[in-house]
Amino acid sequence: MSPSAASALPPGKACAVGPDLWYRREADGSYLLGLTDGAERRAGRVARYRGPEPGRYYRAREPAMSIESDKWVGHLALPVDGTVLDTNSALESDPSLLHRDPLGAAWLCRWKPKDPEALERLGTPVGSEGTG
Amino acid sequence: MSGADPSMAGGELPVWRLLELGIAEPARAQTFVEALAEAVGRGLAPNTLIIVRPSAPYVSLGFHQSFREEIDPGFLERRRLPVLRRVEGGGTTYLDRDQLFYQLVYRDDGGGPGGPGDLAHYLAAPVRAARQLGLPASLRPPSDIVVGDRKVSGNAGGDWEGAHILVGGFLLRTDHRAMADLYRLPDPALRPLLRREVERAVSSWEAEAGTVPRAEELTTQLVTAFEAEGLFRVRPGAPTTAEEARFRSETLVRHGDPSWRELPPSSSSTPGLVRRIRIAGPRGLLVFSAPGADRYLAAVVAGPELIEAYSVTPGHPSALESLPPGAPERPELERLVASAPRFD
Repeated sequence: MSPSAASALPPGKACAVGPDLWYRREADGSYLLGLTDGAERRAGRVARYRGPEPGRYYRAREPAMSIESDKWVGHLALPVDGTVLDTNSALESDPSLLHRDPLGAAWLCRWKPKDPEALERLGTPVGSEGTG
Repeated sequence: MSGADPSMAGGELPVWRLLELGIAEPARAQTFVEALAEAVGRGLAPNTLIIVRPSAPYVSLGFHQSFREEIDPGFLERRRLPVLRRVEGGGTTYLDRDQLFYQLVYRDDGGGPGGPGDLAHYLAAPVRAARQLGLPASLRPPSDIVVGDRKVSGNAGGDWEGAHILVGGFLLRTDHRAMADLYRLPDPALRPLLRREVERAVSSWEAEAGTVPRAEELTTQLVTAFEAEGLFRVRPGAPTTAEEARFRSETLVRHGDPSWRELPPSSSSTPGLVRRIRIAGPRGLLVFSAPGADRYLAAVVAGPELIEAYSVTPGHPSALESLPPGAPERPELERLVASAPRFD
């Protein structure tokens, strides 16, 4: 599924995966995962974020991260199996960051997919214009 | 599979399964719905409405809450209550058999707006059911059903394993003392204040209507109301062998794992804030460490508004002292309240 036309993505070689998530390959081969601005708008006023456990291997579909707004918890999974390297503690401390910079400082986690090619096959590349 | 969606009947309302689980032990009453989510999300099981009452009291933590920060250990020890962390949002709640639960698990099939917006979408039915039975209920967004400004039903939701889950329940009778005493507080002097606030903000069917409907009557009205609101109609069913097996082998195992109960807190950090308790709706209790002093400043708030202010001196015989407008500590407390996350 492509992101909605209203969604933007971060600059650089970012890809959308599904309507809610973006990822971007970093120079060290790890991947940043984030929430599209369309998903950020649909979420309402985010009050809580709990990131995944660094060092843990998660399977795709396994709840790894969670966002709460208005008594609703969205549990998010990694797009494909992989190991989480780091979670965004700044976002955990200040979930409102998601509304200020969903495509930048409010990344959700940094991780290493077990099969990067499988991830790349899921992604919808977008240019640096980031129109999605 | 080809042809029409079998959950639709001739272009009419979608048909959901109704599971009446009766009176069930707390873990089953609270979490059986989780065992259905993956199959429902994949379209292997129908969207389902569960009606159930817990057989015994227990405490339910919202998904993002901290067991250690939220619950008074003395209360748990005295009452010997199980604690279950639900996958849905919201705050810590005390639950017992004087509550009737309705739980929805459903696919993202375009019926509702999705996410938090689904709360108002589906809660129109419990509101209608209550009104049909004589309770002048209304929805206080995002998720409380109230009579006047007193809560008679709490609700929350979440996305779990590919499905959406909405859980809620009518307070038929309310044990206010238990609801107030389950919360951990930095000083016991705050307990009477919290009890008074819970009493003020939380009501019950019995208190508002003078009587309590039978569970069967309320179930019938709920089912009728979901249909009357144009949401779905139901077909009675039973849990499948596979669902029961998944509940035993995965859901109960997860909830029996101490690491699930002890998940770390995920709260935003506000300098000086030592306790934040939502009482109901926009009303809550905030407790701060007083800057440069060995005492607390406490505030009863409603949204951004400071309603009542107190100073608490630990160990002092009259520990809770009201701070009327004009009290010297009041501006500092107002500043602290403004810096804390609001209850909306």
